Amino acid sequence: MDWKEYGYVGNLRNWRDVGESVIYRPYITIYIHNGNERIPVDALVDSGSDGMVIHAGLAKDLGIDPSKCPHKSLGGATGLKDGFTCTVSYEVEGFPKDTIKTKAIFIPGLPVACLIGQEDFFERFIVQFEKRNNVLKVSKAQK
Amino acid sequence: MKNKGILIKNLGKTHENKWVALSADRKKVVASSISLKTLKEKIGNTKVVYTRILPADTSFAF
Repeated sequence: MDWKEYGYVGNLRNWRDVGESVIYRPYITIYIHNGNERIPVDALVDSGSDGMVIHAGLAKDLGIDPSKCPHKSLGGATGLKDGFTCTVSYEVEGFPKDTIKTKAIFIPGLPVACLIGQEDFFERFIVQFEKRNNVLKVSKAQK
Repeated sequence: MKNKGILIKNLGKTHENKWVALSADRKKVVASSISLKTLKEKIGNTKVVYTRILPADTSFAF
């Protein structure tokens, strides 16, 4: 099986505490597109997410008009948020030929740029979270 | 154990809750802004990856 590796991205828990107490999270670069618009973003690989969630601030750059999109709520660990849905496509860095078309939920104020989850990402890829080495290993799932 | 994680250089508190453009290898901050539009104007044609920086003193569960 052909695995591709992606280093987790670290963030200090305290900005003054350089070299100590770093939290590493499994981000992966994806290229989101809608029509001719294409944006490279770091997406958090979230096995707890049903599907793709995108910060609403990216909608305009993707040529999406929220007023023309169906509204939808998103439930999370700490509550419910309102957003809208739109179908987008994306490719994962390292898998340029595998375009994933999915209905994403756009949420204003999402803390991260993007989450990728079960229906869009995990159904298509085999994923190993290797926390002890802070590395994510991804392979294409066989059909 | 070998830490293969990426610790972004020149990242600081001023980047929290902002749009940040990282270098293509994600090892350093190229530019940042509250507005994605302003950020894109700042970086021009430079090859970057967009992200948002989570506050350091907050834990997250998505």
